[in-house]
Formats: sequence, structure tokens, C-alpha cells
Amino acid sequence: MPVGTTLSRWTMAYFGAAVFFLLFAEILLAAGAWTPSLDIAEPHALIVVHSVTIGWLGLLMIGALLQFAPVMTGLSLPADRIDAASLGGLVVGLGLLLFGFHLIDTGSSAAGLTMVAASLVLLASILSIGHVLFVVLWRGRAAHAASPLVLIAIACLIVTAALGSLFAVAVSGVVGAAAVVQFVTNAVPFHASFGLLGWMTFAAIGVSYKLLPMFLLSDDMKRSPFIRLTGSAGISMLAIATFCVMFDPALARSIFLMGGLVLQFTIAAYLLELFGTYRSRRRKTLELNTSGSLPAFALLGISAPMLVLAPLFHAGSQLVTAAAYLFVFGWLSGLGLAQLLKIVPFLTWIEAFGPLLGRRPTPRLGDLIAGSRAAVWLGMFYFAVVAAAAAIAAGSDLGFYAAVILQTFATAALAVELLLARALANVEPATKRAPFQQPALFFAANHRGNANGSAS
Amino acid sequence: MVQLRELDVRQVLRDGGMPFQLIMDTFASLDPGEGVRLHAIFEPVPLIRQLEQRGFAHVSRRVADDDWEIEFVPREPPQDIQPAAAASEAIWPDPTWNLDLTDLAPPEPMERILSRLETMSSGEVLFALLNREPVFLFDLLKERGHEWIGNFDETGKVYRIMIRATPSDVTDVRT
Repeated sequence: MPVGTTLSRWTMAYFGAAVFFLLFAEILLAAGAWTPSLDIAEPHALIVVHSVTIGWLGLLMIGALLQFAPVMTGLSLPADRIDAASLGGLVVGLGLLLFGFHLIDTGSSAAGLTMVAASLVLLASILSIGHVLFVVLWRGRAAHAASPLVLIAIACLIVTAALGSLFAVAVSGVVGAAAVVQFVTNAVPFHASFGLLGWMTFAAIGVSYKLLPMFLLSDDMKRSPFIRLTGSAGISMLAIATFCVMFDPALARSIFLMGGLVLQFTIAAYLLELFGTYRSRRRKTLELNTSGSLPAFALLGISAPMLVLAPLFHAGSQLVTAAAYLFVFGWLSGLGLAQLLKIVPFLTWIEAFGPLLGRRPTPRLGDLIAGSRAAVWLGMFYFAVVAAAAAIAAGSDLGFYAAVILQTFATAALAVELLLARALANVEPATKRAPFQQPALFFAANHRGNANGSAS
Repeated sequence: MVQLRELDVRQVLRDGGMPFQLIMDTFASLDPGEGVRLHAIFEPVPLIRQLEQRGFAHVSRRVADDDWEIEFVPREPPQDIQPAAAASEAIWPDPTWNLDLTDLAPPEPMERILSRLETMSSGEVLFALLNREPVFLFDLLKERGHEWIGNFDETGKVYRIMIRATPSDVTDVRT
């Protein structure tokens, strides 16, 4: 008999922490922690950047993979308890990192030690959870075309974390070697590329490879060998460039830009593939997660070429920052939020009503989330992101400020919708009469043994 | 009273599919004296003619404009029905239910299968076609004590699953 997939116990906790850090970063932006007229390398800007990348996107991806790596491979993850420990480590490490940036800003002498501690905790957590996911996806790499793509992503996660730790140590002043400091100064774009392109984009592509055809009822996507090949080639070039930085920064920059160009083919192939998948779908009406992802794909198609072309043509740094904003918030965050609006109700529905299916009337999956309301908030989110990016490109502090307030509001509203869905606040009270186990907000009950088992 | 096996091809037809093979396979697997209640979206006249030649009488009933129920009953009552006890436990009986769920998005196939299983008697078998491996369904089947076998067809696009319903007393003593 084929083995099934159980609900990942801690995925909801990862999602909860992720949304918290997104809101935290947006509130900082709305409070003026960074404006287009400031440098992106300011310590306060770095607090925002790392809240979004490690806190929001990183925890979101890891939480999603803890559920979907077993779905993709048909294998179960080992040692359940490492999920919670890693989440704790990631949150504490990130907290230390953000505090470290703050201390650097105030010129405190404790900054160095804090940064070293932060990088140690973060690196250990990322390595341990990355290892668990990598092993499962590697063992099941033949089961689905998405697995190799996520493997590339996890390899890039490790590189990103290693580079980040090196930065933290260098910035802290604990290691004063000139060579290290010189390397760090030149290697920031590599850290960012490995993180945003290598880790998050490939993880997002991989997960969507499995999820989208499932919900659209279309055939599996076919271009994965091309995506895998060009993706590995582009990422390898980034790696070579990172190595070259040590002795020839100019050469490194050329290889870096070439790698960036190669990755454009990967992204173009992915977008073409999506176009085909949407067109050939057998489910004609789109749902919120599939329609709500469309702007994210469009913004990927716009921002990815901008990120490579802007430095190639020596465009101003404002344009690069605007492109990065679209990439991070429009593509990665937009896709993430749209998918959360499906994944959270889906997992909650299975947990709460799976054991009751067929035995008494149960609510439909769509009843768990207020879809039309969520669609408005998601639309507002995308609008605000595009407006904020335009304000960055135009150098308008006021425009950016207004857009970010709107974006924060939209995110908060989406967070409330997700919370209501998880709390089953939108379904008829009659469907929750005993025997019924209300799912806990931030972790899933163990489905082994008793279906509606104790949540303790 | 003739045993009728349910076969619903409405969804297949609505999506432009060709259920002919499924129908013929169902008829080929009938036990002596067993008939079929076919649900279709029109009256399949050529099919009825063909089955008449094979010895099935039919009664068509129009439920709605696009909803037909056709009962096929074997004309000659079978002479020697095997006693039920002769059927070995190890050999699963032919499916009483054939569900084509290939055009439903998750989690609907799971809902349909579990609901159907609840109405079935112990030992009865359900056959379903799905567009994915139903990874979340397996655990719920396990919890309810049902047995199942499943695999992808040759094209790799359709997942086939056969589920044998649990004895009902097992359902009641869930721990």
C-alpha cells in the first residue's frame, strides 16, 4: 500500500512567525526606518531587509517545505522535533541579528559579540533544518521533477547563510583581516543573489511545480530539465564569481552579470511553462491562490530582467532598489501570500474535518476563508507594492511612505483573514459540534493513531 | 432481485471524455445475474443497442435534460449462482462503485471517496480514478481501517485506486 503524508506539526508555527516578521518589517518601513533617499546598506535598512528575507520569506519557505517535501517525494521526514528547535533557533538568531544591526547603528561595543552569536545560531539552525530537507528531497529526487529544483534552492540557502555569517563576523570587527573585509565589501551582491534568486526563487519554482498543476488540474509541467540545467549553470557562475571576487573583482562582476543573464532563460522558461499550464487547465474558474499568483508571475517577469539590465547599463542604484523591491514583495511575497490563502485553509480543513468526512456534513474548503475579502486585500497589497517600487524609482520619500502604509494595512488584513481561517471562525458553528477537535492555532495535531488526536 | 452495479460517467462525458472502455470493462467484470445502473448525460442509443445484442434488457429514465439513468438487466436469469461463501477473502470482489474523479481538484476527490465508503457494506470495493496520488487520503483510510491498492496508469496521468470497505464494527471502535 502506498504510504500517506501526515500533517507537518510545526508548519503553522513557521507560517505564523513568518507573517509576524513581514508585518514587523513593513511597520518599520511605515515608521520611516528606511526611505528611498537613504542608502540600502544602512543598519536600519538591513534590519528591514533581514526581517523580510530570513524572517518572512525564509520561515515561509521552510515551513512550506516541511509539509511539501514529503508530498513531493512520498517519503516522511525524520525526527519531527528538529522542526521546532530549528524554528526557535531561526527566530532567536534573527532576533540577535536585528539587535546586532541596531547596536552597530548606535555604535555599541556589544555589537561584535551579538553579530557573532547571531550568525552562529542562524547558521546552526539553517544547517540542521536544511540538512533534514535536503536528505529527504535527495532520497526522493526521482519522484517528482520539483525535487531537484528545491535541492538547488537548499544548496543556495547554505551558501547564503555561510556568506552571511562571514559578513556578520567581518562587520563585527572580530576578524580584522583586510582580505576578509575586502571580500565582504565586494561580495554583498552575491549574498543577495544566492538568497533571493538561488534559494527563494528556486524553492518557489519547485513548490509551484507541484502545487499549481494540482489545483489547476493541468498536466505536470514539462520544462523542468531546461530549468534545472540553466538554473544550475547560472548558479554555478554566481559561485565562480563569488570565488573570483577574492582576486579579481572586475572579472567577478562580469561572470556575475553573465550568470544573471543565464538565469533570465531559466525564468523565461518557467514563465512560459506557467503560461501553458494555466492555458491547458481543466478547471476553468481560477481560485484565489491561482488568480492571486498571476500578478506575482508578472512582477517576476518584470523585475528579474531589471535586476540584471540595470547594473549592465549602469543605471542608478534607485532603479536596482526598485527592481529588488518588486522582486521581493511583488514576486516572492505576493506568491507566498496568495498560496498561504489556500494552504492554511487546506491544512486546517484536513486536520479539523478529515476525520469527519462522510460521517456527517462538513463545510467546504472554500467556506474556511472569506475569499472575496481576501482578494481585495491581496489586490491592495500588489497595488501598494508597485506604487512603492515606483516611488523608489522616482526617489519620492512621501510616495513611498504612503504606499508602504497601504501595504502594511493590506498585509495586516491578510494576516487577520488567515487567522480567522485557521480558527475556523468563518464556518457554521453547527459543523463544529462534538465530536470535534478545534485545531490549535500554531501547530497541527498528530494524525497518527487517533485521527482527531490530542493536540498536546 | 437483480444486483445492480452503479456506474457514473456523467463527469467524463461533460469533459468530452470517452467512457466507452470503462463501460465495457464494467460489463465484462459482471457476475452472473448482475446488472448495471448507468448514469449518463444523454441516452446512449448505440450503446444500448450493442448491450441488447449481448443479452441485456434496459430501462431508460430521464431524471433531467442532461441526466439519464439506464438500468441494464441480464435477460436470462442465471441458472447456477455460486454461493457467496465460496468467494475467498483474499480475492477482492469486483467494485460496487466506479468513480471517475479525475476532473475534481483537491480535496474533493477525498471527500467523495470517504463519503461513498461510509455508505458501503463491509467487504465491498470502490474503484476510483484520480488525477494525483491522494497523499492525504491514505492516512484517513488507514485511520478508518480500510484497505487499498493504487498505482498510476501507463500514461502516468491517472491514479487508480481500489479500496475495500472495513467491517463496520471496526469503524466504531476507533481508538
